[in-house]
Formats: sequence, C-alpha cells, structure tokens
Amino acid sequence: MDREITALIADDEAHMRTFMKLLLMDLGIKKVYLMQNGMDAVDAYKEYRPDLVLLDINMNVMNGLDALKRIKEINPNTKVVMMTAVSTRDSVEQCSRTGASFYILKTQTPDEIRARLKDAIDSIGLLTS
Amino acid sequence: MPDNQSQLISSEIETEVPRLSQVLVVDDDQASRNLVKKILEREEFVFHGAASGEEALEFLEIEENQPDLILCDIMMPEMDGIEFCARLSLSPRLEEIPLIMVTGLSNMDSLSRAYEAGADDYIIKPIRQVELISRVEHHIEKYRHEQAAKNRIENLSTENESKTKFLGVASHDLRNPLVSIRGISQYLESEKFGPLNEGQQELVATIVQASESMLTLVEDLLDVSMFESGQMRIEPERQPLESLIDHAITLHTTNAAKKKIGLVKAVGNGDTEAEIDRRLVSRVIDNLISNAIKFSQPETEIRLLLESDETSVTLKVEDQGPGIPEKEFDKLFKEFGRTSNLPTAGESSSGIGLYVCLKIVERHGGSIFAENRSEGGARFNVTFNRSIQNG
Repeated sequence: MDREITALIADDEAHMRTFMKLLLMDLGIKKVYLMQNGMDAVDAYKEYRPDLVLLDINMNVMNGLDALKRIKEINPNTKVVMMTAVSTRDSVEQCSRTGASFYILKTQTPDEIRARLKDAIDSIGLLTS
Repeated sequence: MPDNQSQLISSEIETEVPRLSQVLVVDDDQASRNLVKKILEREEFVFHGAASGEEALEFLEIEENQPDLILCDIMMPEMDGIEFCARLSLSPRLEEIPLIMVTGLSNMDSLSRAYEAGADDYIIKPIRQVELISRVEHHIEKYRHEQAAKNRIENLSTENESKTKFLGVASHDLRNPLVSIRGISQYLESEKFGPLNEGQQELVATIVQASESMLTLVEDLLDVSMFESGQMRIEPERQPLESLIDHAITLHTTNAAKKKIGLVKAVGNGDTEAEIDRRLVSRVIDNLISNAIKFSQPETEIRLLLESDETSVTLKVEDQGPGIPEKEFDKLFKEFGRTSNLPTAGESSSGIGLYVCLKIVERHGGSIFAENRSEGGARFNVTFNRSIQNG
C-alpha cells in the first residue's frame, strides 16, 4: 500500500481516451498513460509497467487482442480491461481466453463503465487514496 | 452539377427515341417467312428469319441477337415449335422473350403443350395482317414494360443496399463520439470538477439530453441497417425477463423522476424465464419505457406488468398518457411512423423505435401489439416464447 496505482489506456479515438481517463482519475488514479494503438501500448507497457491496462479491441497498427497477448507474455498478472463498441459472445470469449480480466461495452452508461473500472481497480488491491 | 444535368438530359433523350423492334421468325416454309417479312417490314419492324429451330437457336446464341419477339411455326421437321420453345426456356436470357406460336387449325390440340413449354400466345394460319401486327405490338409493349420494371427494381434494390450499408457505417462511426459526449457531459453535470452556476447547469443538462436522444437514434438506425441487410444475429440465452426489467427501471428512474412519473413493476405468479437476446430485448424494453415517459403527463404512473404461463412470458407497459389516436394504430410499428401525439416535455421522437421493437420481437418469434386502455392511456403487450425453437 505504499505506491500509487498507474494505468495505461490505448484507444485510437481521442475522445474515448479522455473519457476513460476522466473515469479513472475520478476513481483515484493519478497517473494515466495514453496511447493510440496496440504497438505503442506494448512499448509503453514495457517502459512504465502500469498496474492496469485498458485496451480498445479495434485499433490500427496493432489491435487490442494482439496487444493483450504481448502484455500477458511480459507479465501474466497484469489486469487488462478490454473495451469495444460492438460486443458478441465470440469476442467476449476470445478476450477472456487470451487473459483479459474485464470487458467494457462503450455504449454502457458512464455509471456502469465506472462500476466496471472500480471492480478492475479493486482487483489490483493496491489503492492508496 | 452541370455535368450531372447534361447526363440526365441525354439519358432522357435516349429513352425517348425507341430503337426499331426486332422480330425473329422461325418457319421452315420460305413462302410463309416471306409473307410475314413483308407485313412486318411495312410496319417498320426489323425482320430476322430462320428456317429451323436449330438455325434460330444458333442465331440466338450470339448475345447481341436479342429480338423483342419470336414468331414460331408449330409444325416443323426435326425440331418442332414446342421443342424449340422448351429449349428457349432453359436460358434465362431467352426465356423472357415473348413467343407467339403460329399454328394451323388442325394443330389446335398441341397448343396446350405449347403454352406449357412457355409460349405466350398463338396466331392461326392463314395469317391476317391486322391480327399479326396487333398481337406483335401488344406483346412487345408488354415485354418492354416488364423489362423496364425489372431494371427499375434492380436499380432500386442496389440503391437500397448501398443506403443500408451507408446507414450502418455512418451510425457506427457516430456512436462512439456520442458515447463520449454523453459521458463527459454527465460528468460535468455531476459537478465532480467543481460547482456549476445555474446557467451552466442548464446548458450541460441540454448537452446530456441531446446526446442521449442522438445516441438512441443512432442505436436504432444501426439496428435497422442490421435487419435490412439481413445481418441481425441474435444470441438468445435463457434468462428471467424480470432482471432486464429491473435493469431498465434503474436506467429510466432519473428521467422519469424529472417529470415526476413513477415506474411501478408488478410480477404475476410463475418465473419469467425465456430464451432471449439480452441486448436486443433490453432495447425493446428501453424503447417502450422511454416512449411511455415521453408521452405521459407529469405526476402520472407507468406500470410494468409481467405475466407468464407454461409456454410464454408477457410484458405489459401501461401508461396514463393520451392513448393512441384510433386512426393511427397502423402507423405505430412502421419505419418512421409517428403518430400525431407529441412528447409532453419537448423530447424528440424519430418514429423508428417501435419499428425496431417489432423487428426484434419478430426475430425472437414473439409478438407485440398496442391497445388503448378503457381507463385511459396506452398498453403495449410484448410476448416472448419461453423457448425459441418451440415457438
């Protein structure tokens, strides 16, 4: 309990990065790294080792699923939240098979998304503030 | 624009100058062919002759040779008129060409076989000029109209497909930014970044409301494009309808409270489990509740009643609004079909929500209908079969 949780968000849409960052900061996270694609997310992950990673599934350069695989190879214990605008049973199953801990549907209400993010943060068990 | 205009004009001119009609005459008797040729050419038809079915088929094999009508003698050595006709019907391109059988009185009994083989009409020998021309003209005109209608349908369905595709792509790309606008403005509204003054509160509330109704519309349009392109997949799972109702009530309580409208749930005996797609059925419930809120006066009540029997589960949404104008029931479930009722607090209504509901319910094999309650207000009834297969 002696250090603050850090998070990384990868989404190719700027407004989504802002919105998710807003929710995370509201939940007490002070340091959030913002990336635009899976490749940059993996690089940033290697450098900053955030406790929580939010990945959009549909991104250019490298999509969220591939980034999830790479990050899980580096550290299987990382908590990863996958985000998508369109959800199917297949995509949910694929994400959880690949090691994602949580799944957010972007069309859910802010309260629902916030609740899901809180679950993710609680699962890390490090919250200091 | 000038380019478009000139194109339009030139294509109009093209259709106004009809090309000469072409008639293929199949007859083994040269004298008969010549007689028909003389009659047709006098009336400015283009004549093609063939001395046998085989020769005619050879001529028709070339794709540019597409006569507007075929006149065929029924009695010919080798391949007779009936067999020739049957051969034509094997090709979709040739089958459409109108075919008139030429027959002597002694062959009348074979006519029914000719019709079966695909002939459109017959003329009895000896050929009379007036009769031949009027039959030929009639069938060519009919054929042209059919072709024009067919082309029109083809064009329209292509256009409709691209419209549907556009609708899907546009709605999809609009959805995410709207989600962010709604979320961020709701955050501003919650004053987590500091207090807002009265004017700011009103402005932010307007952004929240506008983005919410746009988001609903975009979701509806996306669903419509899915149904229309035949891509709507449902992922049904057995679950209690009641849990979807509970979730919907939580979502709508704030909006209802703004108009001092109460949302009341009542559940009859028996469980409410059915095989339903959670996301899609939630959209039906959302649409019905938000409609009820939209068209209800403040300080009224909306009741959500759940009833079930062995094979089905029914949700009834009852409001104390103005009811549905009797003459407008048929508009309710149509695409963009709005009734003359207006939302009571200036909310927006695209008229697409109930169409989406109908499509979703139909896809589940269920049913939906609306009625006016004798004590006033409207009632929407949605029934789902417990099991989709048995439904």
